[in-house]
Amino acid sequence: MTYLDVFLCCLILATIVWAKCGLLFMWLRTKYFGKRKLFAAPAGTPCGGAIYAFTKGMMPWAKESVREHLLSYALGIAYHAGIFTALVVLVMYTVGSYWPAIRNIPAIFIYIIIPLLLIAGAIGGISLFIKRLLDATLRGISCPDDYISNFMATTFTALALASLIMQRLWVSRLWFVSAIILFAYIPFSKIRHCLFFFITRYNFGAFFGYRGCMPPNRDNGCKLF
Amino acid sequence: MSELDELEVKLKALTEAEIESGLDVFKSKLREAEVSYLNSCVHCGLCANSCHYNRAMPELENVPARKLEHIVSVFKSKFTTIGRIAPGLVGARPFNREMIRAWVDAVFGRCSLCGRCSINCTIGIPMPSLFRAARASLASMGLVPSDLQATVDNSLKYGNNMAIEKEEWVETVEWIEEELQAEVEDTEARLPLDKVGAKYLFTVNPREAKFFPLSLQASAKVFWAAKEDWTMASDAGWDLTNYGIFNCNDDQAGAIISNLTNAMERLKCKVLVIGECGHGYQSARWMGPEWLKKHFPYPVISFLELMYEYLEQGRLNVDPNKNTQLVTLHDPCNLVRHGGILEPQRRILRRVVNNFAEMTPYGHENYCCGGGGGQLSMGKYKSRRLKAGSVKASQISSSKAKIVATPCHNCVDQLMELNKEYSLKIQIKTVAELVANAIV
Ligand code: SF4
Ligand code: SF4
Repeated sequence: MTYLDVFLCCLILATIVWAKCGLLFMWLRTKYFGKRKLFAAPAGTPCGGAIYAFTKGMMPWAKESVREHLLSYALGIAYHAGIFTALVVLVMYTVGSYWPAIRNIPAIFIYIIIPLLLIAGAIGGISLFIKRLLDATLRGISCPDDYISNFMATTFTALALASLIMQRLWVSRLWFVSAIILFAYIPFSKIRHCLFFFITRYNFGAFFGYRGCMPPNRDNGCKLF
Repeated sequence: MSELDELEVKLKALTEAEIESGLDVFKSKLREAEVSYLNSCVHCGLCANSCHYNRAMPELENVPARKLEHIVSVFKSKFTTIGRIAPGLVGARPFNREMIRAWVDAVFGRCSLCGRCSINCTIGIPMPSLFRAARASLASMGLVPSDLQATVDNSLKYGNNMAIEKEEWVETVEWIEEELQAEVEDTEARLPLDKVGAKYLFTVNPREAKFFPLSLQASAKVFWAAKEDWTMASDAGWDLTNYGIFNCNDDQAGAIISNLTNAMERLKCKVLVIGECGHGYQSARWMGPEWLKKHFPYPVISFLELMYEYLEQGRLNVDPNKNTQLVTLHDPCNLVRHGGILEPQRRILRRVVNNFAEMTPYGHENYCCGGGGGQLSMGKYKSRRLKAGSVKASQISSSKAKIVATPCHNCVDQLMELNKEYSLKIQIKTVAELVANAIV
């Protein structure tokens, strides 16, 4: 590793810490608003609703919006899988040489599964970017951050793929720079949904779980006292 | 003065201090759950067609995410660092008259608070909770459409939303009692008023007293057949409706729900029974305790649950051959998606009619009829309401049903208008009406 690479790795680490602190700050700000105390007698459990929301409730057949947009759903899944894979590859590239478990990853992962996931992610990101540009409704509900966030995450994923395939130092350095910019941008961007997705989905499930609406309970209201 | 002009006049008259306090009211409605919702939309657009408004009238302002964005943009500009530093980047916008106009249009004019977008949202944002916070803010600035506010004011003044005087209500009940006695040929059949210590306090929609006496008679027949110990209040406390859930003024909603809790205390009943009404059920069962910030020391149940129990216990003898026409069921959003009462109504119908077919989709995925969220009382948005109802109308015609059953009088009203508007040639009945007809 050259000094430049060490410097880039340090910057990556610093921006990761920055992103985490930013998300933590936002989460604490959310907490500051306090929990709602509920007085109505429950008909179900928040926990049951939350479990449903994160499991069956997320299946493609559980939501009409997904059933009617299966391609967008698949692209979204591919995109997120690709980004997650790129993060794993980043760990491999930066601290992998000090971590035996990573050094010993089976070849099928390195040469087939990971590249395929990255390709799928890049295709997903680019397709969703184009969809946002072309679809009038999506354009109407978008702000500049939607395009920038997508562009950054897609670039990060595509450069991870390029690094893996080309094995060129300058490509890897370019990828590191894209990672630094991406992590630095997270607290300002919609990528904060990497945290808020979980909080919101939990609250969504808990709300409907408390009322006995989730999971859909066939016996609700059918056994009175 | 037209309603639109009225809004403009009110907007013009707003002072900066009133706008600022409107924003404070909005903030006061947020807890950590709502703040997380405001941080979550990824603008994927997948919720667009889940809304009956957008399905019927595809345009940007009808997309749930767009309605939400009006609210989120204000939140970003006031309560987030990036929204203050770089508003253009994240779509933060100030809370000014233009934005307030957009809020009124989005949350009163294009939303029935049905919650269908929530269950279809990629993230799971319960949008009605945010739309309610926005309505509350608008209410604090006096921007609730005047006809919706008048309905609330009626409840506050008369104890019911149709300004029915006590004498008129009591006379109506006595008249229905006579009709019931004639129908069941039993002079002991009663619609008891103010029976202290009765097991059940039954509540109704004032539209039953004014326009649909047969509906109240049907419920009374069910109680009579089940030999139940029940009563209704003669004073405030008989009307289950609460339009405070729609103007989102929690103090007013709390005052209206107090009519029911006071009647429960006065009459020492054991269970509060909400007649067939979606928003009435959500108000009393789920929101009432929150508005009053107290646990209710008695169960609050839907009349559907009770009717199902009677059938289960064999307390009602029914013959489904008395209802031979094809029946379908419209699920009220407040009762099903937001209330959790999904199953009793269909189990009842399967027992009391011999030809029942579900709509597609149904249950918690069912489309709103378009009459919820106070839409029925906002004349200004009538044409939108009827157009948005075309989704429900086409669901009904595809079902080929001759009778649409729905356990909600607001839905009954909207469905009757849709029946006329789209020439559906159907009959609309409450579940109790079909049960009563099947009693042998
Ligand atoms: S709550 Fe219902 S009416 Fe309102 S935006 Fe969502 S789907 Fe549309
Ligand atoms: S589905 Fe949910 S996350 Fe996607 S645009 Fe609609 S509200 Fe936003």
